[in-house]
Amino acid sequence: MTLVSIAFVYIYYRLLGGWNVHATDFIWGSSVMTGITGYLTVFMAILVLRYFVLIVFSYLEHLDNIRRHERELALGKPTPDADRKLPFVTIVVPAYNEGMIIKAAIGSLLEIDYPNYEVLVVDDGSTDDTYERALEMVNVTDKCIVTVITKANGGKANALNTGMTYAKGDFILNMDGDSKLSPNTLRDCIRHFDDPRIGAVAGNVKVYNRDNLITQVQALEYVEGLALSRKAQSYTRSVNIIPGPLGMFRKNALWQVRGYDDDTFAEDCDLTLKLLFEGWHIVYEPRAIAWVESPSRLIDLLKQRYRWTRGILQAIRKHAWSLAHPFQSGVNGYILWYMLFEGVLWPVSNVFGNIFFAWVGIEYDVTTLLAFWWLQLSILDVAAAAYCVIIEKEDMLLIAYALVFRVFYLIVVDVAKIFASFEELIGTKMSWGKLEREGKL
Amino acid sequence: MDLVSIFSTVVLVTTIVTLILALAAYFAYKVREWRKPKSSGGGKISADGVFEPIFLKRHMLSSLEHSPDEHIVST
Repeated sequence: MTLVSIAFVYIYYRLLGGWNVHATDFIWGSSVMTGITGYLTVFMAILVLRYFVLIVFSYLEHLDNIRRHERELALGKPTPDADRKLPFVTIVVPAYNEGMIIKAAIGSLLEIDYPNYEVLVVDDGSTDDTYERALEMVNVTDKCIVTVITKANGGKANALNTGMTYAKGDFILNMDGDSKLSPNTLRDCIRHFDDPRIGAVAGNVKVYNRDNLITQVQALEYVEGLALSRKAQSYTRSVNIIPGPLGMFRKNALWQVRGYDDDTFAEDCDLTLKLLFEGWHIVYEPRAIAWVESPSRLIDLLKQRYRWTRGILQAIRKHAWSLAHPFQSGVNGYILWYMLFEGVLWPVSNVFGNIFFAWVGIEYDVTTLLAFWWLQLSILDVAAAAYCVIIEKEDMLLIAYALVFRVFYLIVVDVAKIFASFEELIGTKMSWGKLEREGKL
Repeated sequence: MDLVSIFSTVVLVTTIVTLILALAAYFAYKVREWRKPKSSGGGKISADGVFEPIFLKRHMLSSLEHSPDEHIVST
C-alpha cells in the first residue's frame, strides 16, 4: 500500500508540476499556484506517511496482543482462587435523559464476566424517567451491587466526578449511559494494570445501529479511523483520547488529576491529556468493546462532530505551552501537534484541495487532477479499511463504504469541523447538545 | 470522451455537489440550533428569585372535575 501511495505522490507531483509550468495565465501568478500545489503535495505525502506509521505501529501492537492472549490461553481458565484475587472494580454510568435505554445498558453490565464489581448509576438530574427506570434494575441480581444516585444537573464531567467520589473500587470503569459493554471487558482491561505505570485503558468503540448509510460509514470510521489510531498509539503507551463509552482508570490516577474538568466539551480528551501530562501510560484494549448508538441522521452527526472538534480544541488549548515548546514536552508535545493536525489541518487541507481542484477543473478543464487527488486518497482509505476490517474481524462489507467515506462523508464532516474550529477561534457560544436516542441498544 | 475523462467528470460533479451539500447541511444544523423557545417560557420570577413556570390548565370533563378517582373505581 505504501509503495502504491508513494508512486501516486510522485505521479501526482509530476502532474501538478507539468500542469503548473504550462499554466502561465493564472490570475494569481505562477508562484502562488506553485505554493498551493506544493502544499497539497506535501500534505498528501504526510498523509501517506501517517497511514504507514499507524499501520506499522498498530500491527506491532496487534502482534503483542496475540502473544499475550496465547500466554493467557496456555494458563487455562481462571480458577476461583485466582478470581478472588482480582481487584474490585466500580463501573460508573452517568445518565442524563437516557430513560429509553438505561435499563438495557445496566442489563448488559449485569452479564459481565467478572467476580468483584459494582455498578454505580449517576442520574444527572434527568427530566425523564431515567432515575425510576434505573431503580428497577437495583435488585435484579445478586451478582453485583447496583447503586443509583440522583443529583442536580451538572453536566457529564460533574456526574463522572460524583461517581468517582462514591466508587468503592480501586479501579473505575467509566462509560456512557447509552453504551453496551462486551462481557469480557473487565477481565481484559484489568490485566493491563499489572504494570504500575499504566493509569488508564481505552476500550474499543463499535457502532451498534448499522441500519443506514450514515451509520454504516460511521461503523467503518470507528474501525478505520479511531481503532487504528488508538492501536498504533497504544504501542507507545500514549493513547490520546480515552473514549467516553469505555475507559478504565486507576482510581489514584483520577484523584491525582482531580477528575474531570467541566471547562471543555470533550471531557474524555481533556482527562486523557491530563493523565498523559502527569506521566501515566495509557493503553488500548481491542477486545474490550463498547457498543454505541451512533447518530443516524446527518444533522445529528454534524452536531456530534461540531462538539467533538470544539471540545478537542479546548482541551488542546489548556496545554498550549506544550504546543509552543514541543521539545521540552517530549512525547506529549508530539501528541498535541498530531491532534491539531487531525483536528484542524487535515480537514482544512482536504476541503481546500477539493475546492482548488474543482475550480481548476472548471476554469481550465483539467479534471484529471481532481480525479487523481480523489483516487490517491481513496486508495489509501480502501487499503487502510481492508487492513483494519481484517484485523478487527469486522464485516468485510464495510470496506465498500470506504468509497462513500471519501466522496461524501468526509467532506461533509470536514466542512463542519472547519466551521467548528473557526467558531472556537472567535469564541462563539455553544451548548452541550444532547443527541436524540432511538433506543436501539 | 475516454474513460479517464468520464471518471474525472464524475468525480468533479460529485465533489461539487457534496461540497454544496456539506455547506447546506452545516447551515441547516446551525439554523436548528439557533431556533429555541424564548428563555422566559411564559413564567415569572417571584420576589425571592424563584422561577415559577406557567402550566397549562388540564381540561377535565365536567363529570370528573371533582373526583376523577371515583370514576376509575367505578369502571
